[in-house]
Amino acid sequence: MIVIENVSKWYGKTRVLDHCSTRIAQGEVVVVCGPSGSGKSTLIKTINGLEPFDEGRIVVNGVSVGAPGTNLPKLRAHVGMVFQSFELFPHLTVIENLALAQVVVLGRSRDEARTRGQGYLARVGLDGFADRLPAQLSGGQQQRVAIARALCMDPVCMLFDEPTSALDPEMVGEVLDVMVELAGEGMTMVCVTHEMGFARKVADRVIFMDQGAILDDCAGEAFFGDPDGRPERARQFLARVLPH
Amino acid sequence: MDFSVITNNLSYFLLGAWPHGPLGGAALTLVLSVCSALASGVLGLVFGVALAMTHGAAHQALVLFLGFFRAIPVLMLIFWTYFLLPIVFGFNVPGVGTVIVALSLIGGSYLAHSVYAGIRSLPPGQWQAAAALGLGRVQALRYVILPQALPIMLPSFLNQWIALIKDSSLAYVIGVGELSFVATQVSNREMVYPTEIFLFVALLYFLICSSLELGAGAIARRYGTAAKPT
Amino acid sequence: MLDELLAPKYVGWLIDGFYVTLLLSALASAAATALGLLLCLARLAPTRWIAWPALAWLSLFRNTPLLVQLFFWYFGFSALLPQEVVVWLNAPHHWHLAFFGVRWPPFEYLAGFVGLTLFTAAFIAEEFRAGVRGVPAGQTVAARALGLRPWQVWRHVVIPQALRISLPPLLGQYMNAVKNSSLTMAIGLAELSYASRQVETETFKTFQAFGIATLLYIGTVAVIELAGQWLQRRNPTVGAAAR
Repeated sequence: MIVIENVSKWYGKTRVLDHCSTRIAQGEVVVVCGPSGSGKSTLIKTINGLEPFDEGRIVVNGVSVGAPGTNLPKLRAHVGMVFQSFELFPHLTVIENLALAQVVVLGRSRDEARTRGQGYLARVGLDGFADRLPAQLSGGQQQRVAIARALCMDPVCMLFDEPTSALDPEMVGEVLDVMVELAGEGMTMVCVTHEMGFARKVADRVIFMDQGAILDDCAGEAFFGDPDGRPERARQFLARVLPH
Repeated sequence: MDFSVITNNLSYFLLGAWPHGPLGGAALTLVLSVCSALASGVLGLVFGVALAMTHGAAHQALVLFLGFFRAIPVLMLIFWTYFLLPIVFGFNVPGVGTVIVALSLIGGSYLAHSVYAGIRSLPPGQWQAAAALGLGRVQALRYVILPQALPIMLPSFLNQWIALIKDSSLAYVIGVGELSFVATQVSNREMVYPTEIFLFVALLYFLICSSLELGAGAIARRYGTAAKPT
Repeated sequence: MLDELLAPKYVGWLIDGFYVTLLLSALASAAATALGLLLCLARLAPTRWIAWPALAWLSLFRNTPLLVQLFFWYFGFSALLPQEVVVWLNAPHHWHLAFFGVRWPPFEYLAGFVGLTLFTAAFIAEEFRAGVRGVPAGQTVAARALGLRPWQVWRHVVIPQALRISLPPLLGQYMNAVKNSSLTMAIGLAELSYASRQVETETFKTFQAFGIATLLYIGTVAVIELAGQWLQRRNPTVGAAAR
């Protein structure tokens, strides 16, 4: 479903991605973790072409992302993305946020887009919030709207870029619950996150990155259950982030 | 286009009748601008600090007073000062003085709000920290707040001064012989080259104003604040 | 006491002048808003062949006095035109459009309108640009992630937010247009300042003539200010940057 082959990227002379390779299968839930500045966010943003890369190849659903002539907007329309800082459009109400891309990108009718939006709003537990402005919602509610906004586009996979890092601690749970539910329904998901409890519960696979390189890429059980099989850096990282 | 009208009258454009008569032209524009820039800077600081230090009715009264000068057209204020200053002072105030008073009042009112905003932009913790060290309000302002706030305000000062230079052209209406006035004089005398004359005069203003604008931009970049056009 | 008041005839002059001031500033503000948006987009164009000329244009119009610009349009520009065009522009014309009779305005009205519009547009363009910069970069990224094409990102996400952010400074520019319209008296346009000067010369009642004109200006500026506050209260997304 997603193939990443030997991808490298530089900012000037700094190498931010270093020969990254992995494959993500249909229905798989992959958690990407690592210290800050390790290139996790950059890597998942290369998947929908928000970050260009200098070397290597990325294929999503049979479409090569980096190839010249690729219709990136068309690709992005079916790859959902959720950002750290929500990025709801503040001038639009919740339901208009959900409907905008359905109408102008997918060409759905306004009514159809709103009906679908209402459906997904109910699924993330925000029935009755349709006509609020984003500024009137809590952070956790905003992030759930952002997830619903991505789901409205019928994505073939979902990318999460530290979806809970900007949230107050008491709101992290409500967002993770929605993500767990989504994973249970068989959605293909790539999540950059520090929430190791979430990773342990739902990750089919864990990718550990440091200094732009993928140092570890293994099944979730192995990552949390077999510390001796992990590279040194990953062990240090786990020792710091896991509760003792 | 025939720019000989410029070269023939160059000294008149730049200096007016000086040294045989009163200073005029671009030089008088500079004198007007520098004097009103200084005076408006002082007024802006005084009123801005006053805005920051007053509360309630006194603050509201000050806001209204400054609001008057921000709402009145420069031209109308020049009419007023032209008419009122001799009554207030009891003697004939020269046109140059009239214009400087009007420009300083308007520039000062705008700058007062920039100074006030600059003072308010500092976190309240700075006032509290100064107070905790035993500094009084005036001392806190003098040693802690203004040194931090002034660099933030500098771009708005420069932008206001650019506006002043342009507004000094309004001295024309009461017959002060600055650059715009001598331009219309030469244009009326020669009759045939208005395009060349007004292009040249615009160029002079442009050189003065845009060099100040570049300075404002450089300072804004250095201190990381956005230069807001006025 | 009564002889302290202005005769109705002179009050009428002032009201006529006020009407010209309102009409001129409203027309110039509307035209300058449209032109300012275009100039802002040109200034932000990805190619320097558009962005740099736009920058030069804006800098030229912002850094020269409006008075000199008005003199240029009134005296200088007409000297560049062919004689027949100048004669036509100065001659009275009259058309019938549907039910309205349209009268061709005298040349000083044209020069005043063009001068005030171009001057104001340059400032409005900068306000729009500040508004565009006030839209966080993440908003553009999020819109692209949803599959919006570049022009759709502008149309649905950046411009609507930039307009909301720029509305308060935009109203400030409209106030400036009202105040700056007073400069057109220098090219003989009979607006409010011109009228007050005329009334003063005829009656020597300086206080009354300038006082009424000043009150009318301040009243107009105050109405725009109140309209802005009302708009912001009614719609909380006006004037605020994202979050």
